[in-house]
Amino acid sequence: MAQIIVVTSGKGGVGKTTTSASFSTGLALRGFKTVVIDFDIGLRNLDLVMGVERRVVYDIINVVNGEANLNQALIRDKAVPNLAILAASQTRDKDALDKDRVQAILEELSKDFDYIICDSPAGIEKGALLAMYFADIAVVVTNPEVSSVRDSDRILGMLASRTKRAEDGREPIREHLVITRYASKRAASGDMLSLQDIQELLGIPLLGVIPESPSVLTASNAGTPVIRDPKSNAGEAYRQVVSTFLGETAALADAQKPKGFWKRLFTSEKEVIV
Amino acid sequence: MKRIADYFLRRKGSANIAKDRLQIIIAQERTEATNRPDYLPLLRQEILAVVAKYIHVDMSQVSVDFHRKDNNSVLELNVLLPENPQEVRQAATQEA
Repeated sequence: MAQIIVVTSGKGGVGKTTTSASFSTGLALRGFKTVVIDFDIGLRNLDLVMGVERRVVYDIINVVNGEANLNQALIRDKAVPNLAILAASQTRDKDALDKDRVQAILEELSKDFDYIICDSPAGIEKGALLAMYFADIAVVVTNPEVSSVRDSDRILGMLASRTKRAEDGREPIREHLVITRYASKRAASGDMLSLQDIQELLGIPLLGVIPESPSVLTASNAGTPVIRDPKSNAGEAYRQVVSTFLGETAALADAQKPKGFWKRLFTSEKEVIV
Repeated sequence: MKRIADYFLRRKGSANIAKDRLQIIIAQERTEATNRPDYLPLLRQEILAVVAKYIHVDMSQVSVDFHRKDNNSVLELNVLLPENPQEVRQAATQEA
């Protein structure tokens, strides 16, 4: 049985697709058979970020409608052997997907893969609900911005009530926080919500902090998930996210710069958040 | 010590304003979300009991919804009556 992981946020543009691409690539590079599904029907972009846009022949809606089987629709990443991508449809409307059909696809993928990553669309509409409905684990992507934090909290409420696990009364979805576009200098000077602030507000365990970095744009320009850039600090942060997820390392409370004088003086040495 | 640090570090800049505002709105939205279903299942059951006195209805045919818009709260009740309520009612009165 594969573990189903939804990458979600509520707000758009915070880095769901970037995170889905790098996280799935990272898991595959570590030897896990991983498939990543784009749930943003009508606005597909995961293929572009992962550099397979010219190889999309069939998409998830083709599979649902029986026009192609899963094997035909899965795009195997040429650079990362254990990784497959299932593209969203670009033309059809969102109503083509429903719970039963998504469940059928997830069950079939479950036989062959260790991890199924569901890249959620923004918002709290049907697409986002479908992406999270069958999840075992949620990765909540948040920016240090008031709008993003508030929307993430709304999403946490939905994960706790509008998912299959919640409806069946099973053990709740495991929630993880990934903070993106973080500038530790600005947080230290009080101009940006700090990761401690965000964590305190949302109250879920931190998986990692991705620094604001020009290499994220460079990577998406090139269609190579930033985790594969060995020189990028954001890539390093995503590698850290993967190893934290796999339980090898604890999430670092401050992933980058050493603390300033006052902080060193006044805060405890414990930097590790489990 | 942490508090002293907070005093020096946090009073400047806009992050603490953001945090305070978020704390309030998130707390408010969380209570709204949890307040909602609290009494609704019970309300639904009691309404069903009243309706069932006169008409045989299935539990799944009754829905109770609660919406909040601006300053107004709307309680919406939907009972789907069976296709032939007359017959059912007779059956119910016969039972009684």
